[in-house]
Amino acid sequence: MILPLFFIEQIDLLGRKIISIFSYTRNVLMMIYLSFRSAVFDQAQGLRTVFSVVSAQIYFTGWQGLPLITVLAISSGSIVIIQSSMQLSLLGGADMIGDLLILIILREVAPLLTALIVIARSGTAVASEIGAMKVNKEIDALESMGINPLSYIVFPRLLGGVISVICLAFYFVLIAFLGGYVVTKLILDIPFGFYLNSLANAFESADVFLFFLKNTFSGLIIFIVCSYQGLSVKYSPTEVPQATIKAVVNSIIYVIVFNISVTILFYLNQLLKLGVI
Amino acid sequence: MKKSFSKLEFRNLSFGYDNNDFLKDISIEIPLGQIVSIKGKRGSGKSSIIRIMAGLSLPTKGEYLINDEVVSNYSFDEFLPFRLNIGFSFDYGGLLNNRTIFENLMLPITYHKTFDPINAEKRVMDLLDMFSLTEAAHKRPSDVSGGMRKEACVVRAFLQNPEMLLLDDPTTGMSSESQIILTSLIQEEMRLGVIKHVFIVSEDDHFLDSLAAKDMFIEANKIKVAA
Repeated sequence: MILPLFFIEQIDLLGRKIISIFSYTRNVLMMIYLSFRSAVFDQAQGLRTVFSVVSAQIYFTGWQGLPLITVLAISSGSIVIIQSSMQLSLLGGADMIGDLLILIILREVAPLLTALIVIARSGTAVASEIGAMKVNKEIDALESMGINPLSYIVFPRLLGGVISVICLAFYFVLIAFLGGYVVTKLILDIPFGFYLNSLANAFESADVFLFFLKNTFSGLIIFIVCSYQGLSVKYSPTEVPQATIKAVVNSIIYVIVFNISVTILFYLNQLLKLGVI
Repeated sequence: MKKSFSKLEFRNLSFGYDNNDFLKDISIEIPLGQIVSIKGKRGSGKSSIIRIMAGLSLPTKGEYLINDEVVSNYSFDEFLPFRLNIGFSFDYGGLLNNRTIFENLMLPITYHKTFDPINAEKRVMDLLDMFSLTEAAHKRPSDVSGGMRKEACVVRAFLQNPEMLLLDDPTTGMSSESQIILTSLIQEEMRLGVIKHVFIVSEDDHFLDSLAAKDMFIEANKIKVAA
């Protein structure tokens, strides 16, 4: 009798967990909709107000994030080039280096690493800033003045965040390809023309679609989850670090799940096109 | 855009935090057209009442009605015409920390374009001057004293010429000179008919007596209006 009871409890626990995940996801999606809706329908909020917060967000998330992105892009680019060129040379497929770089850097590493850096730098800042604003009654003050926090606080951060993530990921790819080549040049002698040609041959239009899809939604996920967690703070300053931690953990989980799902769907589509499945 | 207040009513309204209601099943028509002080023990729900009236908190049960419209389930946009006619001052906080006092006060009137930019600036500077806050105007809230922050928050409540004024503990930390100025400002705005309804949560009897405020008590989770 004890064993079935234990299983029932575990199933009950799992069910509750799944319901809470769906409920959280629904709330986050609802907040994306409401912040876009409020921004579109808020007739009082001028473009100038939105632009000032968006530009500040781009400066903080995009511009100030460049040094860290540069280091990671050069290191991951050079690692992939060195490792793959050595292995491919042994197998006689040195001209496939471009395919590997596009596959690994452009499609997978750049969106994921950029998202992780943005979560660590800006996601935490947004969650703690909004959380502190909630405790200090700044959000209530905005509401009392007839200013919708979703259009005034959340939407510009969302827009600025998405633009920043896309730009940072593009910068990551560029630096990984060029910086990685420069570092590799110190060890291996790969002609630049051959390298560029290999990259150009490997590049497909679908890569552009995949790049924008992954980075746009990663940006959306990061800034909406962090804003949501910031706004979930209720009374006390001690809730702010808890909300920030939750924002980081949830953003990472959602971004990874999204990236993996897109990758799986993309390759299933490729296999369908090839007639393998 | 703004909507006037002709009737305010709580109908079977309850409110509390974490499933613990401290206002229970309240049905009352709130007196309008005068200065009303909301009194009660600490933690009895005085601030919560004016937060509900301002649309900043939602009742856990029951309804809040303005002009016989149930507004407690209104969205932000639906409640906005009423909100624009309410001036609200917080017991603490309530100023945006990344803006100066001047920018904080300019925000609502420039956002809603209540005045043209020159008149908006003049209105803000006049009120700041009245409360001797001119020197603090271009400082951030964290760089000025708590009393100055409180005064700035109270000043902001007057900016948009609201019909209803809701002040939560306005005199705490305020200098005695500023309290006198606040009293005369409320009386003057009431006399001119700009502000028509004032609700004050305060334990400062001297301040409330100077305004000849009518008392509204919270006792045993219910609201009673003094005869």
